[in-house]
Amino acid sequence: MPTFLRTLLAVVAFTVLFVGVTLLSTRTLSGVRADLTQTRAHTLSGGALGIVQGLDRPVRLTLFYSSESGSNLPEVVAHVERVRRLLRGLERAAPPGLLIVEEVDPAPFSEEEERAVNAGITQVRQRGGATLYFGLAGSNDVDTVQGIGYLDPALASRLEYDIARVVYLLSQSTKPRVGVLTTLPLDGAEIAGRIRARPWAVRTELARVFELVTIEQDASGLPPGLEALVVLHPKDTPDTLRYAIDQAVLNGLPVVVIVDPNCEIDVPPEAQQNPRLLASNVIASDLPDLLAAWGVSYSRSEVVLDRIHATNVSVRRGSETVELPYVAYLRLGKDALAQGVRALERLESLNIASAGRVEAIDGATTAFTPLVRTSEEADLIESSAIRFSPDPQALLRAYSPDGRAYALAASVTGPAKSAFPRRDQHHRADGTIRATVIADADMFADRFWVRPQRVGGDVVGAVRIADNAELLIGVLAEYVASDALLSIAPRERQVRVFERVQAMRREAQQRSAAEELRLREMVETADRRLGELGAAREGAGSFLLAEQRAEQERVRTMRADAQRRLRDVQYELGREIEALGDRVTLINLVAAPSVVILLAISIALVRRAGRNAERRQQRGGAA
Amino acid sequence: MRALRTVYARELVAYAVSPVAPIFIVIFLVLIGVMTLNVAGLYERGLADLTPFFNYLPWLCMFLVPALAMRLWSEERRTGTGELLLTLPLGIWPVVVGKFLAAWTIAVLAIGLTFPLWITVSVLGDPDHGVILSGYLSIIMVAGAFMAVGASISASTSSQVVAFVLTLLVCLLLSLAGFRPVVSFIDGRVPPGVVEALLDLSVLPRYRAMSASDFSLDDAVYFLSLIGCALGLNVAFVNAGRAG
Repeated sequence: MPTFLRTLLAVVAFTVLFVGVTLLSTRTLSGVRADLTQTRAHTLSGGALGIVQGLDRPVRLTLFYSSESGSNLPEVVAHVERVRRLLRGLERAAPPGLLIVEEVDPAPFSEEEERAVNAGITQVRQRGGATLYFGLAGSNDVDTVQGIGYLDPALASRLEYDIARVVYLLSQSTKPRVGVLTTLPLDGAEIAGRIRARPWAVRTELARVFELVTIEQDASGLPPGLEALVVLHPKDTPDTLRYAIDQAVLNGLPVVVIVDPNCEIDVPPEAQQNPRLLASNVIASDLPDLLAAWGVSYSRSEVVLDRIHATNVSVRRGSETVELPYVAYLRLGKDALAQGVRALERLESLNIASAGRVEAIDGATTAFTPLVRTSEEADLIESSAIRFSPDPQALLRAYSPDGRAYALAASVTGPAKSAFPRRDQHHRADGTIRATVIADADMFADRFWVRPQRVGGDVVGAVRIADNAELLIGVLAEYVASDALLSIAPRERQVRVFERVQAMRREAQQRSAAEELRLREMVETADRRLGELGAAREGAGSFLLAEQRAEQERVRTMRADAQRRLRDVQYELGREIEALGDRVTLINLVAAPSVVILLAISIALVRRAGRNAERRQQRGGAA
Repeated sequence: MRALRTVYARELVAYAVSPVAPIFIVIFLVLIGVMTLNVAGLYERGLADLTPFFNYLPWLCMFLVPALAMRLWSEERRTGTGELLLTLPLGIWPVVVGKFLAAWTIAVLAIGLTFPLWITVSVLGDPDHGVILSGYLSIIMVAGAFMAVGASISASTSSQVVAFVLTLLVCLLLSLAGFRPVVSFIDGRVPPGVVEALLDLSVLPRYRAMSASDFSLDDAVYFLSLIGCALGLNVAFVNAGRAG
């Protein structure tokens, strides 16, 4: 055979072999996987496995995916593979026949498309007019429907949790009944008398797991059959209702009380445009007699500040916007959460907004366990100081940590006495209680823990930015003994930041705040003195004594100097961080290439020396 | 095995003494540094991971690897030393594999020399080391695949420049098949099955999944079969060169 033909044959053969092996292995071997992430982000967790293994009724999961419009989006193609893999894994783990997985391709104008729409799958419109359906619907034998409207590739790390939760919810025949007593518009509010705002995301999340029973403020008692009670932002709770709660809790009803010394979201619609109403609106909540009876001390007039966990807020300063740490808004990580508490194991982060603190009362008979704590560099401030247009910088300046960590949430258990005197023969004077007190109500408002999920320009759902709702769900799940639910954790992609740079920024901001204040005061004093001198000049009929003129000049110079230093301080703030960045860039750009160059030069020199020696030897031999 | 070791050692020495390899490695290191730190702003974005670095790496490998592979056989073909090498009682496979492994080692060394970036993010924050390790393992596989392709193309021509350009082109094709704008363009113009097959045959989607630490056995089979088939072609080209 001629060489050319033989080579051509080899090219064709190897190409066919490569294509064949690849296509075959992709279809048969993609289930065998390894996961090197520290968080085991791609591995089926024990909790999810436990849920499907424990299934005792059939659950059907339907994956809706428009293959035609999805195939030109590589991230969707990659994600649909992930979803299929996960569903296959769950199907294999479930008892035979109890987890049925099917896939539907809703082509335009087809019956399948109608099915997708009926199942509540989100329609994602793409450029060019095509519609993408990429969601999951689940149903059980009594036609309960749960689902995920859009399987967002950006939320790949939550996929397993979301699907396991759908399966869990479908596997439950009844949901635990949880009573909710609140003064906040949890179900959505009427704004300006007509538009009804959406229910809070925390309510939607709770309702997926629990049957929520709303308790009105004027109710004479608690509804029957409750397994737990949530009291959110109680204000002027009537005596009858307080008594009912007192008795129910002593009779063993677990309760979560959420109070707040400065509830920023508690603004009635009519007060929004009315400053006078706004000022008189009471935004602190409390349940004083009951909390005291349970051995909990809480002050409705104090707010906790924490500069270690402070989040940055944008503040307008003159013509520019600067990022400043706001010590009343906290982003807490795992280090702020109590260890070994099951209800908290699943949480990664909490966003807290101007919270109060809870403490055990001396001599209380109950056991007090802090669940969420500040750092040891926390401080307390009167809530009135931050109620109206708080100044982040002023807060930072006045900041004086007392070396204590404050509890922002705590669980209280053990024997307690009634807060009320005996009323009738059913009165219970004491009992063993289970309560959790959380000193921040704002944290459950949407804006502190969810962001709208957008695909293109459309809002298709909500994305969590903190586990605030999970705190409440975790505590309640613990109370109603829902083990399965506690075992699946949303493994949110951990945001790993340059902690060192953040610490530097915090430190620099704090350092500069004191200096800035001093310089600003100098400028103000100078302005005042110049004003006085100006007035004196007018009084003296445009004449100033030489002495006064000299002083005027001196004050002007001092003012200019202070202002220049003020600018320097602001400039310095970013300089250290920038300098570190420059060092990092330089080291990375220069270090390794220099090693290579030096190595190459050394090798060349050694070789040259060797060649020279050889030549000398040859010359010596010849001579 | 001894024959393979001999060829491997000989090739490594050849790389070490030639000025070409260090020059390419230095250019590669500076370029990837500039891309990661200055263009993508690794420091300014404040996140303790190497995502921008791993995003740029395959594109830079597309230049580095052909540069290292181009001299593997072209040079031998031009000077005739290849003939000499193959007359030695070594067999053709050890020579092909040995040369490929030596070149791959140099590419791995170049990639490994980016380790200061790993140290940087570890000092500034607490990265997921598993993910970074996956990134490195994945790019090493990509470099291996590109190198095998480069080696076989180098065996088909006596011109290093032609070898470089052809390798670059083939690597580009292998990558672009899974590149979003390209996929969008061909989608609708060919049957859906073809688009899916193209995605399966492309380096980029697999690299993306692997560098996110989502390893699958079929990805490993893909890279190994690409390397194996390319080296098989390499043998065929060397044989053809010898016969021709």
